[in-house]
Amino acid sequence: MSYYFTILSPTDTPIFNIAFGTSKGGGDGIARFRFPDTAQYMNQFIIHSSLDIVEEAQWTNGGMYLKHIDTYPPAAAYISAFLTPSGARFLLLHQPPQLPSGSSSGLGSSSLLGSSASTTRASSSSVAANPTSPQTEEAVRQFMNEVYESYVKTSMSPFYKQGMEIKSPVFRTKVTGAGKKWL
Amino acid sequence: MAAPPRHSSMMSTSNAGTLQSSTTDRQQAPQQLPTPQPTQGLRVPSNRKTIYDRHLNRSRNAESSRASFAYLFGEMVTYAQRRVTGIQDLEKRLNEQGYPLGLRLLDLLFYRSTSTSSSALSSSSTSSSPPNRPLRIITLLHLIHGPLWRLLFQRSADALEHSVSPDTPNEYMITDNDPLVNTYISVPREMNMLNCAAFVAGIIEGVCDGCGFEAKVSAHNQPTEMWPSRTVFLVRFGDSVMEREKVLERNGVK
Amino acid sequence: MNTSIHHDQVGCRTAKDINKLPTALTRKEQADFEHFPATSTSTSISSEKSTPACCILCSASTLSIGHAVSTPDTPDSVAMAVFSLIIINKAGGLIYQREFQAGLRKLSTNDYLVLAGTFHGVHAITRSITPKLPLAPTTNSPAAASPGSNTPVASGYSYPIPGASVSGLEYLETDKFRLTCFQTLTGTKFLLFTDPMTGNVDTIINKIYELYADYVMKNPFYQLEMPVRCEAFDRHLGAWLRGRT
Repeated sequence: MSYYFTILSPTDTPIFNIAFGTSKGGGDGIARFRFPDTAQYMNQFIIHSSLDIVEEAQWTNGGMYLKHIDTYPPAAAYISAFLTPSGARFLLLHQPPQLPSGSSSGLGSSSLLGSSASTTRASSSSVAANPTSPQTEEAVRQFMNEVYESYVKTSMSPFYKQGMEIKSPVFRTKVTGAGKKWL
Repeated sequence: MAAPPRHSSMMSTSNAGTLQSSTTDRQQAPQQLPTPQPTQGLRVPSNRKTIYDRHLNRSRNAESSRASFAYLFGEMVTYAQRRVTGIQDLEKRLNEQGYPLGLRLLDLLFYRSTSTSSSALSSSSTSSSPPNRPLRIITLLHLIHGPLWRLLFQRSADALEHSVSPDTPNEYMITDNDPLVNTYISVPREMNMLNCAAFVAGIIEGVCDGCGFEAKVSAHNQPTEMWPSRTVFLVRFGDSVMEREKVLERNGVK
Repeated sequence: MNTSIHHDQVGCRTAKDINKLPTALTRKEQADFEHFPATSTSTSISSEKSTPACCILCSASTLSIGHAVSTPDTPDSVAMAVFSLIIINKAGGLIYQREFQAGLRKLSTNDYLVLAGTFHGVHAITRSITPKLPLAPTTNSPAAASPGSNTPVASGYSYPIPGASVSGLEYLETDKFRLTCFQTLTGTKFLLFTDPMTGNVDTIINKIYELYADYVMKNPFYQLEMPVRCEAFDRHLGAWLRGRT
């Protein structure tokens, strides 16, 4: 599974971005999106297009974690959202790996061999297999909560103003660590 | 005090660097915001603990000296008083000082209530689910009246009222009989309209705005015989909030 | 300055009090006149063991304070009576003046300013005329070695109370009132006029100092050395003194 995580300020400014892959089930933590050529901007498009749904769900669901809210089938991208009380939005795009259609066709592309080997192993773990399963929801929730803690610490800094880009390398490490731990 | 996060450890910077370089440039590099390069002069606390390594609940039950706060707040008022054009201007400045604090406190308040309910170690709260973001005005005001006030002043506010006038259904009043910030402050007679609790009004405004309730909050003196520094915080919600409130009410959102 | 003192009004006290009062006062007044019959300054230094600084006794007629006691009702209120408070800044200016009893003779604002300035000067004088007692060259007592920085033992003298720094006038007693002076580290002076029978004046003054530190010094609208106009200070001071009686 590949992940793309964004924090949006209350005024829709992206203040933090990171892409990473699963570390569960032997994953190496490297993102491999299905369409690597377009992923760099498509991921951002997909995430931002889910904002409308976030804003709708925001006023019916009082929880902070809104769970899986949007799907973009062409890229098999699933979006989960987490809202901080102060209006920042954590959006996580997750894209399950392209499962080989059959065990024999898996070797169709030799360049994909390494990744498909790891994904078959990864698919045994519940998190990576099904983006909408309760286990995945729970894992994402834990991930979001951990990022939230780091985010609160950032926002408590007297040198940080709301809406500023989060540049701290420590914050990045913390998010990466949370991704490794839960996803 | 720990160093601000931007001046964080070089160690972790290099960690992030290796992580990035191992990923394929084609996929990764353009998507990520440029990682700040460690520049000369970056400093970390001597124990290498950044603010991210400290627990947010550590100061949960800690108290700060009332005298230090009084001196600090006194200086804040003095600072705000420089080159002001009038009382309104002074109150506006105090309000602006409180506003960012409200935004921050909101996050901290929710973080603390979620973390205690999930760990449930020493918490006094019995609720097991994390608290919800306030969606309706009343929930928001109860959040301010109760938890926020307790976080700030260790007690609830004294009253919460809705405007009785039909012309102003968007006005709510939160009353504090003896605001902590005004304990040691005597406003000179020629400025008797001034209430330094405008700072607290700014905090409330920050909390309301943070939750998505656009509001203007002001502090007013309403002394009584028993409570000479009784203060009423007038919360005026914007039209968009009132419209949404109607829609939510129709949909039965609590 | 107004020099009249109303002797007649003591008569309203109860018989028991009258019995008590004269003995205490007459003895002090005698001591008074013995000490300074002909000197130009009307001060005397007493070296009582119990009072840790100079005690200055004034006969009622040499210093004139325009406060006359009016008919206190009960012996209790007499014992607790705090007549008035004056605060003088470090430059000798009057920054606060308040009366706590009805019926005191009012002075004009100008007189209060003069009074504050005069007291400031008198205080400075009493400070500098504190006698220096020569030390015997052989004396090396630890008590004499410990005084404040301005009592150099090397120069061979000591102040009447070893260990206490020179503070100047601390209290002044007449048969009508007792004036207690408390000086803060920054040079602000608190003058408290009480009934001579009032006990624990130190406690009262300390509490007033505390209220001053809280409601005056922590008030962002108070300018240092300027007259105190803090409504919260007035309120708390009044409430506290009322609570005592």
